[in-house]
Amino acid sequence: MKAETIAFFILCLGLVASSIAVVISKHLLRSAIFLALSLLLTAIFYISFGAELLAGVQILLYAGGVITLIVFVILLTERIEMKKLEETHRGAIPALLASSLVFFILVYFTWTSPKVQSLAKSPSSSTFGISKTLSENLFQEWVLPFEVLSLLLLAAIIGALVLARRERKEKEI
Amino acid sequence: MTFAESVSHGAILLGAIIGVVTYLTWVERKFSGRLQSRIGPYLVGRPHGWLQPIADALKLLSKEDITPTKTDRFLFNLAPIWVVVMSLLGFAFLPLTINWVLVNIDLGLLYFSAIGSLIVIGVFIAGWASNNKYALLSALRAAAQIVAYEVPLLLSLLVPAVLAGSLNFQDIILAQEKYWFILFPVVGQISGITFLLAALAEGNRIPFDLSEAESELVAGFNIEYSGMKFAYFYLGEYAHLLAVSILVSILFLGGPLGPLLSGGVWIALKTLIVFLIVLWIRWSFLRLRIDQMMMLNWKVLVPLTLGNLLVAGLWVSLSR
Repeated sequence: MKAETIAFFILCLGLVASSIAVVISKHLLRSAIFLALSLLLTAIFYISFGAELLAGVQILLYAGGVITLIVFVILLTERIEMKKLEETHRGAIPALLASSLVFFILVYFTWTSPKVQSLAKSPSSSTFGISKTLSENLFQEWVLPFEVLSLLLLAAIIGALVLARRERKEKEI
Repeated sequence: MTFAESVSHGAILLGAIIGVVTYLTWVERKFSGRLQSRIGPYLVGRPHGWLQPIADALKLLSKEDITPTKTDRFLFNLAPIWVVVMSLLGFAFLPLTINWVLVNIDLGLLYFSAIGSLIVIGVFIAGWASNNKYALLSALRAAAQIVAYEVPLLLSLLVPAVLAGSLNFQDIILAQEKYWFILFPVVGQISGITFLLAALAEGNRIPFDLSEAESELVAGFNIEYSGMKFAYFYLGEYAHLLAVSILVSILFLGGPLGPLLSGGVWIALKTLIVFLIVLWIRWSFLRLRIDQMMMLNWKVLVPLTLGNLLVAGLWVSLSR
């Protein structure tokens, strides 16, 4: 077996193991750490498929930003005594059935879809996933939706600021 | 490069970095000593205590490995490893000469900053898993600090990228053939200085070392660690500092470009100079208070870097 294949399977195993650990670990913080790990491994998957930009954004936004926020919130809300989560695995069997059903549907339709098969025959072109292609699409063809989205986000930030400020005033009274 | 080749190159780079970082601690102690009219380490290995870092490493290796009873064992042991791995991973994207870089991708700058932002998770884990109030306070401070300073850090990093028109480190170096970006009027100096400040804050260095504040938080997030685990945090901190110094020399000082000497020598010289400047700052300024630090970030650095980036973008698009 080639070294790349072995590395790929190690990656797969790591991803599955860390994803399961997110669900079954009893500490909230541990779950967050395993989530960070699985997001990082997903980014490595993206790299191995040639989607470099997607992987970079995945690390920067999800593994870096979102996980930092999650951990920050846990640190602020959880007491220092390190409470254990009381997990009751009610409905484990229906959940297993539902998730395996979703899994088989996803695998079946990706496997049989003609689009995926044509992609598999001619793997990614040289311009796919490169920042230049993306920026051309984003800032020339789709520049209007992009700007509208940024306005929406700006409005959301200002809204959050206003909400936070009003709350503080009420407390002071 | 084949798979085996890249693995062996990575191993060589890793060894070299750890060796350099070990001796950076010696440089720091000697230089700090000189700044304060002291001699610094002297006795272990004449001349000038050059065996001191090796003696320190042997001492840390042979120390008893203590895990306090009321800690979260798994996370407690994970934290130092996380910090070291994330600090060292960034080096893969840094070019050490014009042609030699372990992973040459178009988005080197993006990847480097993405991985740099992951180090803080290790600090969090350490502070929380230690089950110690000082450690937890320190972790919270580190969190607030790093989340805040990430913004000006990225904004000032983007200025060289905009001026060079690329996120690839090699393109950024080659774009500085005529003049270094630090010499670029106004825009270059502002982004260089703000980047150094934000990087100091991200690396928990004085004047931003609030999470380690030894006079109030004892030692911060690594208070419960001893022996090799403590050394891992130290190694991670210095490796990150080295990476930041290399990054400054690449982005603003032309990296491996320079007359007569080869590229590797030039980048080493520039990196050393940046490192010494960081030390100079360390012994010249006092630690800021947390509210002063946040005010500096949100009221000064963020608007400044944002405007700076805008000016750089305008200049590039107008001069095209």
